[in-house]
Amino acid sequence: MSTLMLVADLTKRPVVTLGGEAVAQIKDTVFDAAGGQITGFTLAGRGLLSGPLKQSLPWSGVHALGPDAVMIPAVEVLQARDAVVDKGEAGSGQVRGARVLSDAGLELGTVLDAVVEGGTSGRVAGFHVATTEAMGRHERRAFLPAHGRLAMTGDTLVIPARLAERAVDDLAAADLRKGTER
Amino acid sequence: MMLLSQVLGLSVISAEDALPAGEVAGLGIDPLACRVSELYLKSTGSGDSVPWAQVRGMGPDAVIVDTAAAEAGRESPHSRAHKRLLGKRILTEFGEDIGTLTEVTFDPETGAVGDLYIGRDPTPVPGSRMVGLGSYALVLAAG
Repeated sequence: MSTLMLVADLTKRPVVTLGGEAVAQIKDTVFDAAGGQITGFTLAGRGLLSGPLKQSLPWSGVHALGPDAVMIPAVEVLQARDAVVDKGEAGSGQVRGARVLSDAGLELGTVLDAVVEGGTSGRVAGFHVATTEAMGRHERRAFLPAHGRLAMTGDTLVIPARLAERAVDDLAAADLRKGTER
Repeated sequence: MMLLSQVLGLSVISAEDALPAGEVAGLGIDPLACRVSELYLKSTGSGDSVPWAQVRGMGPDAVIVDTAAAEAGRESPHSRAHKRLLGKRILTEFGEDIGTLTEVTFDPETGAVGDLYIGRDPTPVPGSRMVGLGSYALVLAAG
């Protein structure tokens, strides 16, 4: 099971125990410093009036990241908010808007969102990018695959030029969209 | 095998004095044991329950329970999560919503749960796949 999903779509997804109780919803997704892996989630309470929770969900506590819910073994896996936020440097807010440069020094565009692998992986599979003319593409938005280690600081992402050639217009075209469509 | 929908609304009669104890409002299910754990009654106050062990017989026309059980049921705590089982959201352990519960079959003798029917899918899922039942969803293990 490795369905791909946009990180923006994870927001508000319910966090459900294997016992069938919804204990929270996703507020924000936190990545490791290199932006290659989800390290956890900050949480909000469920319902209209509930705000952010003091607890967070480290990736180690995730049973599976699914298209309709984030499954956890039990409520005990939730930890203090600092446990997740301190470890990861790049919140999804910082990933969005980052400048994308090819290793040939060409500015390719800006990151609209990250694409992650669901299930038990939590790996960043690619980025949804608003492209510049440098990409030479008709479509102004494209999905760029991310393989292996990423070179990423807070506001800049450098990717190999050969990956830029493998950009696709939508996740379905690359057979990547499975599971995020409903 | 009996259907959950078939049992709902059946009158519950106490074996000792043949007095009506109420109507079946629902079944409580132990997902890991894969069996019926209790019977919820309506119309005798709010939300009585009878443990499965006190159910003497269950047929097409009535459910017979021990008198004592029906009375004890009034005080026994029970989980709201198990009420309204039909229509319950079903999630796989991979976090995929696969529909709502439309029918449950069970053995009226032993209380063992047989199959679960999901949405309009005519092919049932074995009850042994249940891993959890809460107020939000019924969770199934990978098939």
